[in-house]
Amino acid sequence: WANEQALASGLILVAGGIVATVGRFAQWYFGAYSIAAGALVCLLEYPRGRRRKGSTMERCGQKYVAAAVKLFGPLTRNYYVRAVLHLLLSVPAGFLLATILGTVC
Amino acid sequence: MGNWLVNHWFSVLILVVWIGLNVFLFVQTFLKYEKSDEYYYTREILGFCNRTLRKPLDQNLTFHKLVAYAICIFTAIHIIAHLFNFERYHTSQQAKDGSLASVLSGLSHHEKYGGSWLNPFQSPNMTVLYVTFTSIAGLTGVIGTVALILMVTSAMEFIRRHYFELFWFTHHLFIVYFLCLALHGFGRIVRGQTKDSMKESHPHKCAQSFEKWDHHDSHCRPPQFEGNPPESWKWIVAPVILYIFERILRLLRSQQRVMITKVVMHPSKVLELQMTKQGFSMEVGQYIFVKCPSISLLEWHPFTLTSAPEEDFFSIHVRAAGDWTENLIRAFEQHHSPVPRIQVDGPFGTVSEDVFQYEVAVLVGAGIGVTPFASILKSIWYKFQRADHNLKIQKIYFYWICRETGAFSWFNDLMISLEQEMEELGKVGFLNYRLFLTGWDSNIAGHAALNFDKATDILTGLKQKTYFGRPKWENEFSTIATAHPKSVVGVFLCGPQTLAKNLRKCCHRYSSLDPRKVQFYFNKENF
Repeated sequence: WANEQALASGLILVAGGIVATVGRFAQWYFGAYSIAAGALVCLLEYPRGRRRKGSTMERCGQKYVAAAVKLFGPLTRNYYVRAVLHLLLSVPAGFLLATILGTVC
Repeated sequence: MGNWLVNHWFSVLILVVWIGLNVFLFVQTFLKYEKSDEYYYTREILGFCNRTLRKPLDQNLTFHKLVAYAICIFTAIHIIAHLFNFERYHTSQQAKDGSLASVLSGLSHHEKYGGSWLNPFQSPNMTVLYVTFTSIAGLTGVIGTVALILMVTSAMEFIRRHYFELFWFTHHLFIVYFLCLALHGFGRIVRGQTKDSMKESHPHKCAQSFEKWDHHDSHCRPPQFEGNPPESWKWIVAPVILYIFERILRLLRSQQRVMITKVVMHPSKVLELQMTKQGFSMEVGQYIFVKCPSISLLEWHPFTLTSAPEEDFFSIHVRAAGDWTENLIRAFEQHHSPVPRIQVDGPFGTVSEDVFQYEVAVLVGAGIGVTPFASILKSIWYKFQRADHNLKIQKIYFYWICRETGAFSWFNDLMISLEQEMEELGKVGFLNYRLFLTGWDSNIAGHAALNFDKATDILTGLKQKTYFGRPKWENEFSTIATAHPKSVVGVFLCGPQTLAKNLRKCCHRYSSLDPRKVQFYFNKENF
């Protein structure tokens, strides 16, 4: 579930960021940051991890994205590190209303 | 495409009407805010405004998902629009250039002027984030949206299939969502000009001369504003009442006493429970929810009823397929006295009630999907015996597809007894069934080949021989179409989605375009 939620929040970060940047809101540079951060989160979360028991359906095309995730080695593969990374990434987006939803998620 | 439309025209009509109504309401409200005069000044600051509309009517799962997607889309539009609104309010509040927007924003929140403010940002120090979290609309909006997002992410197919309890419990966040939705408009943050103020200083007259509003000799007074009353509760109050009523009804029904009249343990860990309950009446192919408080206080599990309505009890067959079912079977195996208490809610209807309306019925049960057909076949048999005139069925083609018959040996016994009874009544051609074993290996096949000319099948003991592998539907459909050139054939499936697609295609292909000739109608059970 965390995987689904994180993927959704990545998308929301990107969407909020687009709104803030296009509308040239005050402090819209936070919006631009949010697009980049959201894209990174989506990239990391797109491959679906394998369940401990039972079969797992892969998301389509996840092989290629998984290769990119493995590139950074243990930094991005470890779930704990990823959790802290997501937390840190989402903080700057919390400064702007348009992107705060992404932060909360 | 033409055939699909003929089969589904009613659902398509309902969908078109619903989407049309939604679009109409959206456009109507949008135009109201865009064009009507009370909102002239509101538009000045904001540009335009819009609203979330949705109709929470649940008919079945597909409609529920459609409504959910619509809610998500409209919520996204709503949030984006209000984000722009807040930004514009904020910039107008900070603008010092004496434009109409800044004058309107300066309209005081002071009691002296009757609280006739327009801009919710009262001072230049208030940031957008501050107003969001201190206004009712903002706070309920954020909480409601977070609840919605959690509901949606936990309802993804992957989570539903493998972690159902997580989905079920998070989905109850809908209570939070609807509460926030009902309270969302109570802050009356969207404001339009009051009627009195419109009479006095209509925007068409006065908007151009806004510098002079405070002067004593001008014809125009500063406009007065009032907030719109909250309206979302009006949309949801009726369905919420209906839903509460339904939950109370379900609770009351489940409190009724259930008497267990017979417990049968079938081979391969299948438990049959025969029960009676006062006031319980069922139709074929329906299912009930069963709860066993001694195993779990919160879990209700659905089971198809395997008895016919003509019998004086109702029964379910439970196969061990998870921790709850295994615990249930173990509890009954151990002959504890007293027998564990069972609570029953239902029965809930499915499409198989239509099966008696067709002259020819093609019933396909795949794996565990064969269970509703136990009820149907038994019921047809009882009606047949009593020479029930309502029974239109002349012929049944029953296809049973499974990997191996182990877990369904009880169904096997049912087929054997039906076969015998038909022979006694001399009506051998009424029920044609074929069993397809998809989990065969060369051993079984070899054994079957050796015993080819025995009268009964060695695996099942039935008169009709077992087939190995999957049925070739094109052949089956064309045989049926040639045998019944003028009939309406109902095809009923309880099984996996891929098989449903296959059968649906065959139904469309073999239905002739002439409505007087053979027509195949496809009906699928939904679990």
